[in-house]
Amino acid sequence: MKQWLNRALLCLLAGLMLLAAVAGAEPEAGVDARETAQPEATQAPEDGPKPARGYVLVTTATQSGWLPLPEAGEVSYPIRQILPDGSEAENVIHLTPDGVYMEDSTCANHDCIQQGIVTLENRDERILSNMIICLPNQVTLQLFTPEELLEMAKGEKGQ
Amino acid sequence: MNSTARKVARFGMLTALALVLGWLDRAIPVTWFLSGAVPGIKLGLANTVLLYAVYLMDWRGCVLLMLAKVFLSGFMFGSMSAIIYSLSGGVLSLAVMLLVRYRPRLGALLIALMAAASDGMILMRNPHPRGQMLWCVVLIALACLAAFAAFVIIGRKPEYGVLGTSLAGAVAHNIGQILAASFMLRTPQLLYTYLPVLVGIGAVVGCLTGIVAQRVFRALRVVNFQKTGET
Repeated sequence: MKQWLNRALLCLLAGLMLLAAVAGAEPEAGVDARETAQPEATQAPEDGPKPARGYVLVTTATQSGWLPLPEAGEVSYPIRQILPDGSEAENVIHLTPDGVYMEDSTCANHDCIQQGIVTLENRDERILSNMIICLPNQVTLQLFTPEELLEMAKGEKGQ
Repeated sequence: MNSTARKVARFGMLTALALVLGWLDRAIPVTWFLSGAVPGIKLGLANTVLLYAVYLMDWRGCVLLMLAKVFLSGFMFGSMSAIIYSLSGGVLSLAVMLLVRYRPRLGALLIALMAAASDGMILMRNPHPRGQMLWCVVLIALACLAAFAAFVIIGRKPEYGVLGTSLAGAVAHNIGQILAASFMLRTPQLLYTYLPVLVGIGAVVGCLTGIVAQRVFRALRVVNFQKTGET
């Protein structure tokens, strides 16, 4: 009788451990599972429960802010500013679900338009990596993944 | 009297040349096909004039020429921010050139080491470069070899010292500009993504302008520095 009880308890323990192992391993099992699980655990940086594929840090001469990549469709944001030397400048940023590029600019050389699109795929191939720079208008765009953004936020909190 | 007249004439001529070459660089961008990948890239023709000035004039004249070039061309073609960028590049490159002038061989070696280090930095960040990055890495490796070749050549033929000065000046100009840019744009990331690239490209351009300058000096017969130093 005692033997049976022991065996049953052992089986139960083993079953529990197996369950725990499966449950513990599940979030790491697939990349897709982890990507969908993360935003709930660690608050999404921008509004909405599901993070965008990427976030664009826009820096102008005086201020900076974040723009999420749209889930579908394409958006253009005109950015008007007055530069420190008093002249007016306008840059049009174009966001697609994959990346970002400079659509139009009032600068003289239009280098920023020629720099083309930055996507999460071509970041490592580009010489400027994740950046688009308009030097005369002092506008920079940087594309980050949600994970990088969270790390940056943690780093700022740590400091 | 004669010598001051010569100085004034030389100064005026070099200033005019710097302005015209600066305009030419803007009007006919030889590197237009690269400007998408490497924004802000220029041949730096106007800076070659500074290179001649380093050998033709004393340091006060050089500083004056640099300031005249930066402010005049800034007011004529550029904006306030353009002046800041070219001023920081000009100051750093002139200071380095005036120093390296006396040790051109050391300058060339230093640039070769810097190009190698920046190539290593790029490869460390991105071990398997593709696309533009691959070309960039190859180009910087070539620049490193070229700078080392200049080091060897200057050791054998001292009249090629211009090469070392030109290399150091071009790289210093790029470093100065990127420092100003990362300060103005408040993006310190530029320093570790773009600086290695610019160091390598500075070495390439510096090598080219150095070869041109050496040919010009030979044509002008001003390679004999002692004679021109006294006038």
